[in-house]
Amino acid sequence: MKISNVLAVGMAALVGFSFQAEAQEKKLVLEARAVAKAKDGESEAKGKMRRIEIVASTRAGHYTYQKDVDNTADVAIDKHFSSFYVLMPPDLVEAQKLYAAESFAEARPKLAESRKKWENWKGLPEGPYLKAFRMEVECAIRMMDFAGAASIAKSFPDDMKKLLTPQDKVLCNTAVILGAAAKNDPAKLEEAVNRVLKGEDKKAVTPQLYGWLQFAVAMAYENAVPAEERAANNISEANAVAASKAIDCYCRTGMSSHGAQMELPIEGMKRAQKLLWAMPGVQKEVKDFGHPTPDKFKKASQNFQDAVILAYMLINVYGVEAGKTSDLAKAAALFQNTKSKKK
Amino acid sequence: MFRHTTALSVLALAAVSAPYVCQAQDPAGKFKRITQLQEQGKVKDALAQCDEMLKYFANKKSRTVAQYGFYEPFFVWKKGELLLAAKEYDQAYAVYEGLTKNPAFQDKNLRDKAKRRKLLGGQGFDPYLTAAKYYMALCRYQQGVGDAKKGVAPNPKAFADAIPLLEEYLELYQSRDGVSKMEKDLKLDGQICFMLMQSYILCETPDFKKAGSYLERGRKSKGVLPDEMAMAGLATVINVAMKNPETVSWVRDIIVSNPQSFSLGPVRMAQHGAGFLKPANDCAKRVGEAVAKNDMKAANDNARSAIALLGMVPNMQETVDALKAKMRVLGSGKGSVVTDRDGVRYNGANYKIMSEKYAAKITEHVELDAYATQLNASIALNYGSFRLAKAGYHILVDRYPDLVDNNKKPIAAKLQQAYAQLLRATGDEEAAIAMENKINPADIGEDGALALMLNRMSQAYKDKKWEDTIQYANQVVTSPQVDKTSGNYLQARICIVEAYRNLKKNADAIKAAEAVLAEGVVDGATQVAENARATYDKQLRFLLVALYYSTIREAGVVEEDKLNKILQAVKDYETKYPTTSPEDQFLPHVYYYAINSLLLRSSKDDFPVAQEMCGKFIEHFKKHENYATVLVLNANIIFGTKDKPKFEIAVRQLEEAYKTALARPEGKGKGIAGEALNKLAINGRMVSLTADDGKKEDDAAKNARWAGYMTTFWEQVDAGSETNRFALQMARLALSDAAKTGGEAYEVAIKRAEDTIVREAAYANTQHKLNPDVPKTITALISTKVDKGEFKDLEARKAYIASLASRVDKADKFTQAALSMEVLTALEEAKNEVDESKHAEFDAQIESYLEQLARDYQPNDLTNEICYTIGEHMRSRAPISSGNESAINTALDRAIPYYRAALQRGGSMQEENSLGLADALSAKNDNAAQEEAAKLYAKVIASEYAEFAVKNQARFGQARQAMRAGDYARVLEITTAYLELDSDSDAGLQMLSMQAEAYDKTGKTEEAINIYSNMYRDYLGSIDVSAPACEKMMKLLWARGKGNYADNKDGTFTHSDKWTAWNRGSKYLEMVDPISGQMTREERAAVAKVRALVEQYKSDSTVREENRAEAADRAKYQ
Repeated sequence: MKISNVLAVGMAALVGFSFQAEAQEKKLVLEARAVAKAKDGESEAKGKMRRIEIVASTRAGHYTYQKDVDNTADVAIDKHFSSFYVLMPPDLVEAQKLYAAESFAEARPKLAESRKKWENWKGLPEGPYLKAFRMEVECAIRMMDFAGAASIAKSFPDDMKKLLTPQDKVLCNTAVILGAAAKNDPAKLEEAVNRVLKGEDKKAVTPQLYGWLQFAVAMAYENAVPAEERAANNISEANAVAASKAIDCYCRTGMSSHGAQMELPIEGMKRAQKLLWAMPGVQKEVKDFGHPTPDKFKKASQNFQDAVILAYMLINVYGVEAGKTSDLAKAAALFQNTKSKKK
Repeated sequence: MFRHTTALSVLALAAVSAPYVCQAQDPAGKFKRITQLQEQGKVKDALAQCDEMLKYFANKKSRTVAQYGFYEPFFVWKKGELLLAAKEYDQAYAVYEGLTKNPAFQDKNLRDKAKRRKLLGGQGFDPYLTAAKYYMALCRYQQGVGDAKKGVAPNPKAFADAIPLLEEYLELYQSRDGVSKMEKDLKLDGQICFMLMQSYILCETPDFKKAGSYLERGRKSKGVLPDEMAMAGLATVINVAMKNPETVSWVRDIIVSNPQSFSLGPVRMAQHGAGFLKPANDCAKRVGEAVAKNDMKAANDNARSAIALLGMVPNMQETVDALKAKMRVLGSGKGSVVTDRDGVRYNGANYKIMSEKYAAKITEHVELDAYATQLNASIALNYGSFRLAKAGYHILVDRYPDLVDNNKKPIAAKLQQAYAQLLRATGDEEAAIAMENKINPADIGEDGALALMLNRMSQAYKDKKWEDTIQYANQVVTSPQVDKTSGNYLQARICIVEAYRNLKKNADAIKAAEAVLAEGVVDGATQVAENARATYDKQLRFLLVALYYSTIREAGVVEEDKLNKILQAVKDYETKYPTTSPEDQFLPHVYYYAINSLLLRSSKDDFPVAQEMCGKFIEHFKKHENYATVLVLNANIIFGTKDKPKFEIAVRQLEEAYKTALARPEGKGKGIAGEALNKLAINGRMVSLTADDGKKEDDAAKNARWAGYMTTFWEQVDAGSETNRFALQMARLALSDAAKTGGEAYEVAIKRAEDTIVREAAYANTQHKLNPDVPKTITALISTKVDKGEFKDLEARKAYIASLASRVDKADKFTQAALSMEVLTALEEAKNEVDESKHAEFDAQIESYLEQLARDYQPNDLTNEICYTIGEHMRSRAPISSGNESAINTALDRAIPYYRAALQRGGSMQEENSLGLADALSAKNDNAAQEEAAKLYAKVIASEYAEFAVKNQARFGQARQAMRAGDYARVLEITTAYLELDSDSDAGLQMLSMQAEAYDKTGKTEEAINIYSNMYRDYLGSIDVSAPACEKMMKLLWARGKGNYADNKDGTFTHSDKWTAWNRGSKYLEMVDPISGQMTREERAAVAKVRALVEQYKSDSTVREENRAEAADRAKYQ
């Protein structure tokens, strides 16, 4: 029988157990802490501790377990366990720590290694393969290696996809969309994103995933603006609408995770700022601005104001480091507080 | 229990569980049992067994103790661990202290035994000896922070012990061999720094500087803080750090610098994160307060911390999903507890409770992540970032459509309203309206609906969408909710006026503004502060004056009614606000528009009034942007009215005007400075200024002053300019002056004229405009050089023109054509200077040149304006008076295609080209041409686009055509109608002349004579008018020949027409002969005709006889 069926077993009186499992073919040891189902008629308090070993093979599709006090026997797991928690293997713990510490460059190869190592256990829900897979995709996205993220997401075996949670499915879709964003027609990409946002797994779209999807749409719109216009900080009126949409979507990424996992949000806000700085007429305003005063600032165009305020916030609130001569620093230097009631 | 405790215990368990442990005494088995009891929560039993073993080890004489005594420290450690778990901190402290101070445990033999037995991976119990110091500190630290869950109060005094211990251990830890490898592997330094930071904040006398130094030091570590410490620690730091503006940003710093500890998954976030919303909210609130106080450091610190805290607020749905996923594997009954390898403890039963709690909140639409997003958006809004705030509200509207507030009331409509406002503010009006249309007005209440309209109105006003402004402002004004005493109502009324004004719907704007004043709306806005009300009132009065002025300008006619209203408005303003303050931002504008209105009418009576206002302006508003302009206007009035006594004042005002204007920043005053200097260049030498000592300046001083104006103009106004509207005129003035003086100044003036012509021609060309000053200056330049004899022959003159043409863009057909005309003039002048026998040669040259011009300037390549210019040039060459039909037709046929091309193409200058074509056609002896000309004249006169002067020209053309056709009745009809409108202009005089001729032809000689008589008398000084009029009058009188000489016996005499004809001619010659030196060749020729008649009539017998008779009669009386 399959582990997934084991997990569907109803709850009963539980007593904690530790056990080890060894994959026959690969000789990999999988440690788990399981809870044995109380025997009929026994109360919770009377449950006994046992040591059990599981020998599992996903290819075989069946599992054996050993109780260290009883004779080894092939039994159906679901009759004996109501809870099954797979301990994180040490290699994955290490990788996870690096991931949590936001050391993505170090975490990613270790996650890839773990995923490979636990490949035979990919059918195990919440097992090491799935955890490594999930973290690796997220890691690639947070490193902004969208092509890499898409490639990992696509590598998940089709016949195993039913084991993915709705959130995992959205994550995979997001990775694929991000991977395709740079080359895609913005309208088509927006449609693809809307299908995810309004599709059957819409509830599984977490704020982070929502932000990442918006990032994809933003990239597509940004790429619709000729690179030379962006590089020259001189977006034409003809491309201003696409640029404005990109700005909005990048800003949504900035706000979506309300302060968590800030890599893409900050990148999104930086890109939005750069686009605002290049919007039609803004550079002329910058040139003509002279000594900044709140009154002048109030009279400036909204794009100019937003470009400056966003630059100021990126540096002073979001902790982005900017060289003194960078456009970001130049923009931030023009910031004026127009809401001060202090004379 | 903290993770490292577990780790050390696990290793200890492994150590004592080694298979070679003495089974007889079985300390390993004992240790295992104690650990099992500990895991089962049976701490007391475990402690009892621990004590039992320690008692056993106390018997140092026992052989087994001597053999297995190296196990003792493990049991001491276990006891400390158990006491720590039981929160018996003082006892635990004593146990750990004992471990470090017991000399037996320092014994090398004892420690070596543990190492040899590979206990603790060959490290023996050495790690405990140093780690115990940390645990001593931990005991005191725990006492310091207390335990809120268990109701144990914090004891700040305990930190006094904890701090030195922690610092000692940290130094040990970070020194090279200070602690064991096992301790190092646990990466505890970050945790110790965190505890020290917290201790310094929470101790009796907080030391934020020290705390800050440990915060910094902790950032460099990579260790993971245990959940409890991280969360509880953060909570305590938040409480304390947020009270001090200097440390509020630490909240963020702690979170961001420890991602490994605070980057929680959804399940752990669900356990700990919900509590961070409130402090985040407090920080966000402080952002707004700090921004209002312009304390941006505080704003930034609070914003940073707020956002970091918001990042830890759980996402509701994600949390529920994650908890359910965990429950699926863990179960959710009692005991479904697992501690993962990384020390995180999972408890299915708790998850069930938590999951249900979160699910219920989602059902109730109380979603923490939504509030977090809303706070984030509000922070962005406090900084003024509409784009970020808009993104936040987009997320709220899109993803949390049923969100409720604290009182469980839905807030969707309010969110939509805010979102719509931000959409509008960022230029997406269409989306804003679509969003607003989704709002159910019932959800925002009537006040909300009014606010909605006010927002729309304000935004439309800000975006200069005037039609929308009027629409929304009208909605505000007519809303039943609007309070007419409110500022909003007043603003809406004024917005309507402003919007109409900007739409240039002056009549509507005036109506709206007059209604506001008539209804007393400003005075009725009692909710508005008195000062602000006065400002609105002034603004409104200013707007009215500006509107009346615009109406006058647009109409081109100064309506009495409007002008009176302006003057009345000025009076009302001055009466209501008698204190003229330089700070009054509206009164100077009111004066300015009133002055300009008066000057537009330019009636004699208006000048004193305008000057009075100029005087007030000049006296009170010296710093106003229009100050220099008003000085110039006032000087213009003085010169215009020939008010000679005030010329000196005018000059001084113009001097002040240009100086003031040049002092304006960023070259803003260059325009008016240029105008002032231009006026000074024209009029400045008309007056000698009086020095302080009362002396008048001499000519040299005057010339020097004048030269100063010119230098200032070229150096400070014109230099570096792309264009200057006075430059060409100034160049001509300089030319004229330099022509008299010569020398270097002359060379400079010539070069400047050339350069200015080239520059202004290029500028006009890039602007697709024609500057009539360019050909004028070209002519002046070449005439000056001709007068100076600079051209040795025709070829030299042509070469110079060609060199000038080479500096002008070939595509600039207007300037090139003007230069070509100069070549024609040169040819014609050369022709006039040679003997008649050589005229044919020049005529051939002129003809050839005209043909070349026709080839060079193909009508279809030229703009309508240039077509007209060239057409006029060509047409003017037709020798109409010569009667040479062939020559006339050749010239006209050359001109006609230019007009026709422009008319065929349509667009600008249609009336002018129609007129030119009609003039050309009407000069042809061809019925079809005459008919077409008549139609064209009628069309121009009927056109609503034709200017007054153009229409008059067409009327003149009609009269001339009728004259040529001999339709004198029609001539009289046209000229009579025309002369009612205009008799003073050149065209008017020609019409007058034609009218006289028509009278003559129709036998009304008396009327004809009267007209000529008036013309020659009124325009005596204008020889080109008076001489022909005199000649015609003489001829008419002579031809009529009525009357005879008679002595009236009273000293007067009656004369015949013939004598009168002779007499008037003679008198005319007497009057004009003294100025014959100033006459042009044409004028001299006209006078010669009069002279010839006088000579002819003088010799007539009738005249001679009358002269004799009158002389005889006069002698009788003498």
